[in-house]
Amino acid sequence: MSRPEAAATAQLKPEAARQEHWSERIAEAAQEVFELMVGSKLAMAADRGAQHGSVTAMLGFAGTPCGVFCVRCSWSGAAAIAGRMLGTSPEELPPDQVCDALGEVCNMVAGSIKIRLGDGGSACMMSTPTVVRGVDYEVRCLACDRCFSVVMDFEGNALVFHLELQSQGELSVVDLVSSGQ
Amino acid sequence: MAGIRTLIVDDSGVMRKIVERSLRQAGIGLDQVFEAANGSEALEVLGRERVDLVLSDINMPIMDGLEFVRRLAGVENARNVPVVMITTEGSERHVVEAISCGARGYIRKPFTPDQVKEHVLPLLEPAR
Repeated sequence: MSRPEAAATAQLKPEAARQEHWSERIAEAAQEVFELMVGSKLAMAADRGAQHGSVTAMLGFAGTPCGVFCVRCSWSGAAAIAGRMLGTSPEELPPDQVCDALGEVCNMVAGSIKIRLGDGGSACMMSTPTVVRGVDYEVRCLACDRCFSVVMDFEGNALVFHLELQSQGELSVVDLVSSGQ
Repeated sequence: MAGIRTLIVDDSGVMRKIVERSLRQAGIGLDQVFEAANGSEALEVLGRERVDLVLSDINMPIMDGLEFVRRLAGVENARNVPVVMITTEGSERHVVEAISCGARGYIRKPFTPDQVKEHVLPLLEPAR
């Protein structure tokens, strides 16, 4: 192996470890929220790609770490989640309640991720969630350079949990968090 | 335990319903449930209604839960009403801040009805 190849491999290993570390934290947080507040277990799933007519709930992290957390699913998936949370048939729910429910799921999963940080998330503030509904759109955090996605299955609906973080200085926020645990 | 008048403060209507359901599942007999979407609305409710218990979120627009608890100390008829924070902010710093502002309990979302019971019942028993 040449020196540049060896260097690339050495860099890849910590990045793969970070991906695994954050994917596990995201999945744990999502499982906790769905078991306690939705009354349902999630299973890991494969990414089915962009969905037509999807809904995304997102919120920002300010401080350390800094970034964005999103939950994306189909409208019918969001309605199913809201229905389970409220004990109501999804068809009976008005759109604002469906958005509200997905926003709260996003809020709680983000909070559960935050509490798993090395310092319990003391140096980080969360914004209130925002929900976007539509077709053919992308969500990007312009300041972020590290992305972690986990896809899970909720009663046949794919849920994408997506975390984008901003590196800070030479040492990434992710490194700081990992070393704090 | 019955006849409890409670105020639930959260900017999410879905979460207000879930908190109310959790109180009922915890065996707390609710006589009347008032709702507010932020701390400012909550102070308005407390200015005109007598309540036994307040459950409040922290992260809310207009007036957050910490500011609400601080201002509650100045509301003559409600300054002794126990406030339990129910919030996604679960760090030790947030808990300490909430308690120092005057909150009597702290429940992290997500939560179970048992956790609600554990934190709320001790606050209601002295008043019954």
